[in-house]
This record gives sequence, structure tokens and C-alpha cells, in this order.
Amino acid sequence: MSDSFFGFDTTLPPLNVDQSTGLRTGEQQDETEEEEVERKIKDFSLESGENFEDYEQNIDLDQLEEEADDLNDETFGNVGDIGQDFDFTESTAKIVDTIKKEEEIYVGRRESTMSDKGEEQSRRRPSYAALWGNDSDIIFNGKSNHSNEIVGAPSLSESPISPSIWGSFHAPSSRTEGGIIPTSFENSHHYTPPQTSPPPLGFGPPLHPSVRTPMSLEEIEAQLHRQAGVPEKRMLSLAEVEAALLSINGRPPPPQHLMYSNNETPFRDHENPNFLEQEAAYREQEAAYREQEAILFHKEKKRRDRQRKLVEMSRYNGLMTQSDKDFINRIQISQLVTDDPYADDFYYQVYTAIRSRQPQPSISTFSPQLGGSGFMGHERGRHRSRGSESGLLKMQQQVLRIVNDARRKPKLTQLSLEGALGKIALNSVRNPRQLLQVSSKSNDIHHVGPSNGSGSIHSQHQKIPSISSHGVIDHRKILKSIENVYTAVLALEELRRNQPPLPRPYADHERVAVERWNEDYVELAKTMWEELRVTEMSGCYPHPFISVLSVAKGKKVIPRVIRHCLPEQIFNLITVLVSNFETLDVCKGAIWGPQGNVSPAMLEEVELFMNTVVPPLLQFVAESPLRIVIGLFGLFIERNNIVWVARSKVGLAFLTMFLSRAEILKQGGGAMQGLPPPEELEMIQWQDLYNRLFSLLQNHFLSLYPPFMIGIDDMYVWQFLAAMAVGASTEQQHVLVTEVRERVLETVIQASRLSADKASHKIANVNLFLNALGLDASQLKV
Amino acid sequence: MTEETHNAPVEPNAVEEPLDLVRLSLDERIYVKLRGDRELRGKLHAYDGHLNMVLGDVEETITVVEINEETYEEVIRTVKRTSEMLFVRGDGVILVSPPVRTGT
Repeated sequence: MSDSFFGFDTTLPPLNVDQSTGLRTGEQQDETEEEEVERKIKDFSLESGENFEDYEQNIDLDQLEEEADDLNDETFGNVGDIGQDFDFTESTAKIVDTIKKEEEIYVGRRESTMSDKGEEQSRRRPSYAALWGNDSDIIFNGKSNHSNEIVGAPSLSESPISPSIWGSFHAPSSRTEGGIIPTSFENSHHYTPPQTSPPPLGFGPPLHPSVRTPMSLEEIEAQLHRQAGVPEKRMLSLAEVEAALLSINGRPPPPQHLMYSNNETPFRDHENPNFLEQEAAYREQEAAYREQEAILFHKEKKRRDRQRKLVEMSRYNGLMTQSDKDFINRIQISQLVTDDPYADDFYYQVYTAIRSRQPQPSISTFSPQLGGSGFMGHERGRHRSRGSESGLLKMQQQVLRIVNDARRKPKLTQLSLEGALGKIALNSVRNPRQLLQVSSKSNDIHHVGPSNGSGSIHSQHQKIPSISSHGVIDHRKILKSIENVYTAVLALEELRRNQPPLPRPYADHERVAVERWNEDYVELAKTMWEELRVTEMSGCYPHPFISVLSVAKGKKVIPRVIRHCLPEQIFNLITVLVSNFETLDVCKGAIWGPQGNVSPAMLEEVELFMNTVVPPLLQFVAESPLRIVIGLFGLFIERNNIVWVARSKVGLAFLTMFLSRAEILKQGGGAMQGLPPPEELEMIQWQDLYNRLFSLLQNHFLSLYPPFMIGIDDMYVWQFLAAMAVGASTEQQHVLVTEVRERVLETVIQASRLSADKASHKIANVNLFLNALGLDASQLKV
Repeated sequence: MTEETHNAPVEPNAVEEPLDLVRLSLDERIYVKLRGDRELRGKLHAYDGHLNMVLGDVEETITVVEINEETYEEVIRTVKRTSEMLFVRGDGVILVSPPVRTGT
């Protein structure tokens, strides 16, 4: 049965005896005739991607059973008047055939997509399918329609009423009642095979297996309405009367018809005026529903318009061949293809990278190669059906091909046609029309070669002093260095991304590629390092590297620089930093005076420094042996005014960093990193340095804090004090406690007035220090 | 001077064209004069060859000249507004300059 629709005919079983008793003797012949027609139509529908049903045949057949409507007048009363509102049905009747076909297409498509999609999407679906020649769901459609036919099948044999009446009766009812039955339901019953063959599964909602006893269509419908609790309407009541008249000879039909509530077809066939009269009578009795009907009619009209448009469009199905479509795709997509998505589509790449950190369905495997992959990912969500999936796959393959093509041959920027004068410039997304011609660097006034750079600097240098002060030049030089660092860093990062794989043995070209890559990398890293100006011994003040660090973007680049640095270079860098620490802007500018005058802008700089420069250096220190820590720490104390530097947040952070690292190493923490335990001499050296620091800071511990009421988080001070306290001797601890006792008490008192979470933060800060001494804030009596 | 000679071989992108100067101002606050008596002060996040720019923390100053209908006197007043982020289309840009700096 499931294959009977398209493989069909050969397997279509004849009606069994039961069901054919109600049919006239000519039925069998008709049936074979019909099969013939049906096959033709379906062959055609397969070809054209449309789905037709044989209405003419159905209607003819139905009319043969007209005798049974004799009693309609008695049943429903004789009604003479036909309401004017009914006019629309007549006009509808004129175009009924067209509508039928359209409906078939439309309903079918929607049914096939209904089950897993929102209505809006399924509405849009046909146009997409039509445009892309995507016929897969039409095939589905045929099958699901078929399953409806199965339900409808037995009704004919049992129905005592003329099918022609009920055919015309039900069509409007299904339209008006938000209702239920697809067109094929009424119109195809005469040729559908018996109930016993199982419906095709997997298309549309499954049929209820227990429907065995034949029922009349009308009953089914009436019961459906009652089950569904659909409010009564004119047509419904009619159906109910009918249902009441007949004895119900079956169980309630399966509710799956409700699934189709929006798919039913406006199918009107008013050939029986008698019926119209009856209808009008009932209409009068239930005038309340007219308004509703008018609205429904309006909607219906709209929908019909849309369907007509769809059919219009589907006229052009198959106009373009697949290669035509591919060609257009290629034109469109080639605009999006890029060799270097990281440069051309930087923000998208970063965005995707950030997004992909959260779990989400992988957009596509080729996304790093294709700028427009977002577009593809978007499409994927919308179309589920098998056909469009394969279409998408095709598209992806195509895109890959295009990308590869674009790689192989560089993009044309100019085109000279035969016989044309001059050349035609080809503009593209990547290569927009140039409006401004700025002379390129090479044909500049200056001599080409390595002296070029210095020459232009000199000319800068000679011109500018007349118009501005010396400081501006220095600053500009620093900015230039930073820009060069950025250039080098970006190039290095690019290189890293394109790192060739490890060479296989005997693959010379791979080995060469790796060697070449290494050379490039080393060269660039050298450039970057020199531009950073760490090793410059110019004697100028401040040190050039410190000047680099005093610019926000100079701070920002540090973490990216350090990734490409050798350990010696990092050591160099940190040495320079430590020995010139007090000239750092974030040190000298961010020292709390008695009045607490640190500008918000400077606080931002400090935060930036703490977040960018400190972490990589902290990591370096956290892996260093005690020898290096001692060296740096000694230099730090030696070269800077510690009492002053320690009052800045960054200065204190560095002190804390060294203190805690040394403490860890003293306690044997270096063993985990494979470092030998510190030697005796180193321990002594460290203790000397510590004592030196302590004596320097003694009597100044309280000045390390930012002003109390200014609302700055002073956690970093508590951390430092904790680091001091851990390494302190008993007397030193005593000094510490005595000096900061006041602050401890103040903080605890303040915490008692604050809300719970703020208070707990304050207490935690104090505890950092107190715990290091073996105390706790809760022991304090305030 | 000594550092310059030291640096010379590794400075391929010295200031050679006007836009290099703009580049130095990346991530810095700049002053932009625009057509229509408008001025911007903000942090330069990005720019391109058309002088399209993305500025952050911008203060825009619009100078409006109104003529008093009775006395025909010109009344000049300025309207200021701030934006967190601004895209400036390059065709309106007259001047780009670093803000006035006082020493280093």
C-alpha cells in the first residue's frame, strides 16, 4: 500500500466483498478505468513535481448515487430561502477545479512538512521548494494523502446518503470549521483499497490501528468535532444531525485528523440547489456563526491567492538546470570566498571562536576557510527535509570547490577585452574601486633600502622640532614602535596559524617548508623583540620599553608578545621592567597621596596593567628557581624607592609575586616543577633580602593602603601583608600586627555595618592577613 | 639619535604616508573635524583608507549659527552629545589630529 501510490496500481488490491456490497455492480469496471487515469495523473505529477487528484472522476461517480438523498427534505426540512452571504460559494464553484489542484499541491506540501516545523516555516516552504526544484516533499505529500484516503475508504459502502450531497456538503464544512479533512478525504474514497492494508508509516501522523469497522464520513467528522471540542458551527450541527440519525457503527475515529486542521481544502460544488436550501435554513438558525464564517472566508481568500501565486511560480519549475543553479551559486558565493579569512573576516572569526566556546552544533567543518559560513549555518536550521539536506551538502561541496579554485588562481583585478580600448577594472568586495591614489612606499623620494627608514625619520625629526616640543617626537616614536610591534605580532600569529606539519622522512619539500617557516618565524620574532626596545641601552629617561608600557596599547600587546618570546627574553624584559619600575606610569602616577588623588583614567591604566602585563610575568616568575627570584627581587629593592613604589598597586603586586614565589620555593614547592631544592646560600640571600625589605617598609605599612573611605578594594594590600607575614619572624610578625592593627579593626567595624556579601568580602580580606599569622577575624572582639 | 641609527634596519614602516600618522593614533584619543561644523573627540579604534573610523567614548560638538530675526545678529552656540561608540563615515572628515598633548 505504501508503495502503491507511486509504484502503485500493480499492487492495488481490489475492494473486498464486504465493502463492495454497497457499491453498484459497475464499480469494478470503473475502478480499473480509474486506475488507468490515476496512473497517468500520477505519472504526470511525478514528472512535474505536482500532485493531482482525479476530481472529475470522483464527482461523476458520486452523482451516480443520488437516489439516497430522497429523504433529505424530510430530514432537514424544506427551506426555500438562500442567504445572500452564500454568494461566494457560487463564484468559488466556477474556479473550483483550479483551486482543487492548487489545494492539492499546497496541502500536500504542508502536510509533509507539518510534523516537525512551525506553521510559518511550512508556509514558506513551498516557495523555497519551487525555487530550488526541491521535489522531495511532494513525494511525501503524495503518500500522506494516501493515508488519508485509507481512512475515508470504507465510508462509501455504508453511507445511506448520496455521496454527491455529502461531497458538496463536506467540502465547505471542512473549510469553515477550522477543521479536519483534507480534500482527498472525500474525493478519493471510491478507488481506495480496503482497510486491511496497513497505512504507510512515517509520513504524517500514524493511523490508528484499531479502525476496522466502516463508518460514514459524516459520522467520523461529527465525532471528530465532538472529540475535539470544536465549537458548534452551522455545518457541524448538520453533521451531528446526520450522526444522530445513523447508528454509530464504529469506534471513534483516530484523532490524527486534527493534525490537519489547517490544511483542509475549500472545495465547493454546488450542483444541488436542494442542499443549498437546507443549508440556508440551518444558517438562519445559527446566525451567530456567520460572522466567523466571513472572517474565515476572508482568510481563505487570502490563502487562495497565495496558493495561486505558488502555482504561478511552480510553472517555472525546472526552467533552470542544476548546472545553471550551480553557476549562479558560484557567482554569489565567490564573492564570499577568501584565501585568508583571518584577515578578511577577522571579526567574524573572533566572534565564531568566542561563540564556539559555548557548546553549540558545529557550524561547518570548513568554516575557517569560508567567510560566508554563517550563511550556511543559518540555512541549515531552516530546512530539515532530506532533499534540502542533500542540497545543502551539494552547496557545501560546491563552496569547497570554489575556495580551492580561488586558491589556485589569483583574483583578477583587471580585464582587457579584445578590441576594447584600455582595461576594465574589476571591482569586488575585496577590491573596491580606488578613488584616492596615494603613492606607494617604494617610489618615495627616499632611497630604497635599509637606510630608507632612518632617512624618513630624520626628515621627520628635522621638520618637527620647529613646530612642536621634543616630547611629542618621543611619544610618536614610541607609538611607531608599538605599531611595528603589532605588525610583527600579527604576522607571527599568522605564521603560527599556518605552521606546516612536521615533515615526514624523505619528504624534502616538507622539510624545506618547515625550515623556511622557522626562518621566517625567527626573523619576525627578532623584529618584534627589537621593536619592543627592551634591550636598548640608550640611557634616556624613561627607558624606551617603559615608555612603550606607558601607552595603553603597549600594555595590551604584552601578553601577545610574550607568547613569541624565549625565556631569556622574558627574563630580560622583566629585568628591565623591575629595574625601571618607578618610572612606570602605573607606578608613579598611581600612588595614593594623603589626599588620595589618583585619576579614574589612571586607575583604568592600573587595571589594564594588572590584567595584561602582570599575568604573563607572574607565570614566568612562578616557574623560576629561587636564584632568579632573588636576582629580580634584589634588583627591585636596589633600583627603586621601595617605600614609594610599594604604595602603588602594581608595585605591591610585584613584591607579593616575588615574596610568595620565594616562600613556595623555600617550602619545597619547586620539586613539583622539577626544580632542585634551593641551596643553603640562596636561602640565606633570600632571608637577607627579606629583612632588608621589612626594615625598609617598617613604620610605613599603614601607608600602603589606599585611603580608607575611598571605596577602593584593598585586597592587594592584605595579600601583600599575608605574603610578608608568612616569611616573617616572630618579632617581625609582632611589628606587622602592631602597625596595621588599626586598619584591621577599622575594616572589621566597617564590615559590621555593611550588607552581608560586602562584609564577608571585607572580612575575607582581613583574614588573608590574619590567617597567615594563624589568627582569624572572628577572634577579634570589636 | 643614537637609537635611531640603531633601529634603522628594523623600521620598515616608518611614517611614509599620511595614514601612517593616523595609525599611530590607534587606541588613542583623537580629534576629528567634520563637515557641517561638527567636531569629534574620542578614542580611535579603527580606520581605513577612506578615513572611515570607529571611535569610542566620543564627544561630539556641533556648532550651530542662528540668526536673530530682529537684529540680524549671529548667535553661535554649540550642542554637545556623547556616544559610546561611533562609526564615522570618511567622506565627512576634514581633519584628524591627536589631541593636544602636554609633554610626555
